[in-house]
Amino acid sequence: MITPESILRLRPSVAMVPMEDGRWQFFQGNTRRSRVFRIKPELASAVGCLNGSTSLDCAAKLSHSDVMQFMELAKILHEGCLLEFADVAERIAESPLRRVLNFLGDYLPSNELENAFRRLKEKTAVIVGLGGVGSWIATELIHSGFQKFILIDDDQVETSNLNRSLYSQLDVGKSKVAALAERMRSINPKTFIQCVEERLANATRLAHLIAELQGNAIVVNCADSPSVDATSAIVDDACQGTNTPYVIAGGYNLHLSLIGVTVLPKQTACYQCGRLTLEEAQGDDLIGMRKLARPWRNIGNLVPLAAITASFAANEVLRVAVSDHRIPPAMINRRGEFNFLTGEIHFVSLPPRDECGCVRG
Amino acid sequence: MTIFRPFLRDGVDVYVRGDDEVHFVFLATRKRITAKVKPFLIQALALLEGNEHVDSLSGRVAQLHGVDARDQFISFLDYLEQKGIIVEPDWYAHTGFDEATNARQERQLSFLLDVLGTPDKAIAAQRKICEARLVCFGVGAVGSWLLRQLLGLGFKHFILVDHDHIDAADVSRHAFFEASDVAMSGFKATVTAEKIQHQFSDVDVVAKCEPLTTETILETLIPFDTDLIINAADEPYIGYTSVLLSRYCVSRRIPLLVAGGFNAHLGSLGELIIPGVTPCADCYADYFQEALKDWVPIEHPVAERLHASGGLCSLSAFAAGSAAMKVLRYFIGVGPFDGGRGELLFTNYHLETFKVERRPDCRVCSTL
Repeated sequence: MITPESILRLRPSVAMVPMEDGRWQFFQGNTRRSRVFRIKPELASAVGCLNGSTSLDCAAKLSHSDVMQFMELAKILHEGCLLEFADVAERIAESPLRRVLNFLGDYLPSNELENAFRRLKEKTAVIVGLGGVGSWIATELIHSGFQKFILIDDDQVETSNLNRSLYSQLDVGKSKVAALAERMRSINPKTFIQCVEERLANATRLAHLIAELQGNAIVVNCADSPSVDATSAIVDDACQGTNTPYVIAGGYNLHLSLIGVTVLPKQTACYQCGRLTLEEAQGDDLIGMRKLARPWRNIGNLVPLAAITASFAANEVLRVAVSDHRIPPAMINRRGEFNFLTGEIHFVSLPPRDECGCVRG
Repeated sequence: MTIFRPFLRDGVDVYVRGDDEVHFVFLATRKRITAKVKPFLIQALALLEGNEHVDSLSGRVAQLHGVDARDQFISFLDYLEQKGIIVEPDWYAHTGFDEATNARQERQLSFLLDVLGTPDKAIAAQRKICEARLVCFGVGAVGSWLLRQLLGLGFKHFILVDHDHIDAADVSRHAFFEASDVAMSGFKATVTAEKIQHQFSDVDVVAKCEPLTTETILETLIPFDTDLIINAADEPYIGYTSVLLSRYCVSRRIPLLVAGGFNAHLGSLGELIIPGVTPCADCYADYFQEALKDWVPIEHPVAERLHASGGLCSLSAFAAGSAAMKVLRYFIGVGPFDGGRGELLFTNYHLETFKVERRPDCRVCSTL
């Protein structure tokens, strides 16, 4: 793959910083991670020549390095997403989605990047519930390169939705699926959207929709009616049965500032595992208390909470879609809570539970 | 007692232990109030559904538990009102706002009630938001998502400043642009203002297609009655434009939100500068100059790096959400208003934050 004639360049988002004792820090600006290598001075200066038009051979000669040694180093640095092939970089620069590709380039070597993005584009994001969080997720995903969607919701846009969702006053009275699909197509006319204007009543219906996608579905649950528990149970049931990854975006206990769990069926803790753990931990001192039943509640909500919750779910869908161990989902076996007053994120571990029986092997 | 039809409001969970201990859990803030009360008062909580007048309710209580119970019930209601646990059921329909604002902000008013405690405070906070005048520099990846959220929060007066034209890549990261906007190659500010006007007809928005440079006469872009300035412009360089704007803001005591440019599209969280309260942009600049003085990368071999940076819409939306929260907290007066920045690390979603203090010797803000 990498030959003396190869033209690689130091990725523009990577900073190369000299440290003591011949060590060099490579700082990946996109993801703010750094790696340190001890490199001979002449090899380091050869890396500093990789400007996108100089071959490895040429850079080695310019800095009086051994070409074979430099090729070995270049392989490692390319594998570590610090160098990239110039021809790939040129194609990326032409793409309207170059920022997404450059971002993924912090995790995937440049020669694998375009294939990974193709995999992502083949995935269908199945979004259950198109309220505040759902409308944000769909939009964030289309801006991340997703082109295939199934949108599921039976609701119509009401004025009271407008404070936190991405609908506008022009959408009031339209069905949410139609309004959102229209907006998505205006961003990318090539988007394929299947609108399912119905309330997700049971797992069979969802499993049927997923089955047609032949393993390319990722489900996101953003539906909270009648409750997040109820809709998540349906999603869990359908996804476990069809071996489909899913992301819980909404929130437990009626909070929308929650970052839900990501589930890879048979491999990681599922929603029900999490529920078991949360029920045990719940309220510690509220245990043994009766809760006053409060039907039809109207809980406060506002747009930054919806957008922030959605941003994590969209991140997770992206990571699942790329399907690569170097950029795995980050919400496996845990959930998070974003404190809107302090801006802090707190995570709770939700391990797989034997008694749930979902994880095998 | 000023409430006629007491309603145990939606944002409070009620837990009961035994027959005389009640816990009110505020969903938005997780605040908890515990009270020991007579068992009949706990039973009476179930009556507070907002559909019965307080006289009729207390009459029922008196009938069941005697005349003394009536007074105890009334003082219990007094207590619940003070604590913001009961409200008038339709309080948010009597805010004095126009019908559209009321309908749109119903859920947010519930939220503000949760955080601020009483309907009066919630309404006053929303009014402040509706009346505030904002000037936003830069309407790109982060600026547009922030604007979209500020519109959701109910802000209605904007001036947008951006001298750039739309290109194809902008559509894939912008909150307002559509594929069909590329061919026209209009000014970002103008097109954004048109879209906002179209989607939110009661918003007043003005576009100014001018660059932000040392030559800029800020007085021509920023009216004297501006309540908040937002810097989401990344050109020529956010550190530079922020210092420029911050000096202007400090001298006029206008708060400045720095949101964008320095990798906000990668999940970096900016700061709200409140003159005299938080560090100013010069304090930040000095802080970073010192903190990073030993960190000197080699000159990058690739000269043209403009199109090579990464970014995700979800990270822009996160940074915009965090910035919108800061703006909201400023306008509703919920601190703390500390100096500092944060970075969301994508790999594990660890939110790294660090504090920055005001510099006692700052040449710009130390005299405030």
